[in-house]
Amino acid sequence: MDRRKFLKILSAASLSAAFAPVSTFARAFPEKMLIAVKSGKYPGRIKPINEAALQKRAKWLG
Amino acid sequence: MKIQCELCPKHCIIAPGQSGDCRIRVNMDGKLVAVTYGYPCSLHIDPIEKKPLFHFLPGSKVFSVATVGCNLHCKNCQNWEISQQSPVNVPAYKVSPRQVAEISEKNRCESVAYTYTDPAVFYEYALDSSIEVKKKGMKNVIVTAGYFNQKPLKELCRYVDAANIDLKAFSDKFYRDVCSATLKPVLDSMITVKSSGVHLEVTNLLLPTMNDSDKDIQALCKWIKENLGAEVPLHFSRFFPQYRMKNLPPTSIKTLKKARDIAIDTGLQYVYIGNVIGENWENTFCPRCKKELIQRHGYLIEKNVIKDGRCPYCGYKIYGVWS
Repeated sequence: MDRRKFLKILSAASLSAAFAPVSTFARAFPEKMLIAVKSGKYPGRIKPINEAALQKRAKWLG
Repeated sequence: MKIQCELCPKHCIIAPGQSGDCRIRVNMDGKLVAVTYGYPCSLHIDPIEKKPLFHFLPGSKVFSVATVGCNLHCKNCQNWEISQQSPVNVPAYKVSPRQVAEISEKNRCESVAYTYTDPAVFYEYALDSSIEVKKKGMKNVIVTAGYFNQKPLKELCRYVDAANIDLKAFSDKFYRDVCSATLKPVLDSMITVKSSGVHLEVTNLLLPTMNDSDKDIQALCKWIKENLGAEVPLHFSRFFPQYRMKNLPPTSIKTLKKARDIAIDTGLQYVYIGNVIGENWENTFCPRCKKELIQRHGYLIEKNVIKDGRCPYCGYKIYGVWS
């Protein structure tokens, strides 16, 4: 391969790599999905369950 | 080492010690950790109509579970005090997936809902809880914005019986400007959920001047009819000023009624108006004979004449899960 042709291929490949969307690649290899592991510790405060309060109308919508 | 979370279309690349955009998926020593796994901040027993699901076990109780965090940052979020917070600031209960199923069973709930924030961000907890709930013969519900990647959503759909997907608007610009998200993954999620055999209902919250033009509503209804089917219930919901959108007025009744008329003219069979009490816009009518089948008042069922999933007057099969 002559030098000119090599440089053309190299520049085309570089341009493609520069604009390749990472998220598209991630979608293309869905089997690589990373499942999070559970945390042993909650970073906030833990509150006790009040079973009677479960029946109260929730403040939250949905 | 940086890691990439592949749960939602944001594909966050997370540096050690940092969290993703949802605030709850953290890179701890190169491992992706869901810090809210087993730590719900909200547990309530709700009527299923509150989700809203009008064609899924009407009148039944649903055990609602949520953790802190969300992968969307809607400026109009109605649950922003839990969805837009870091776990550090919100106290939580310690409840294992097995306990979720046990509490639900003990309180005679027919289903468990992963709701209030978004199961997309507490995915592993929702998935493991769903499996435990199924073992006890109950059903699972997701109430979500649908901003999932396809692979995790398909896996979750194996255990989910019903979903209400909040289609915020039929505009990518709206999703980018108001929700920090994009439209296409949400549309893909709705198709995936419906084609997985999960009962689907769609909610659209109408924000004055933002997503309530005739053109937007027509496009949304047409897309639902062509891609999901005319039988999929659509809930237009009334907006009340919240969070970072206190500058807008509540949605007018006139706009909600207009949206309902457009949806019916487009050919959708079951169209409801939510967050408005006192009209008959929450009642279910038979698409064929037009007779009233379910009469609701708020979250209460006042009358339900559907028999074996069919209209008792003309025999038309009504879309839904009725027993």
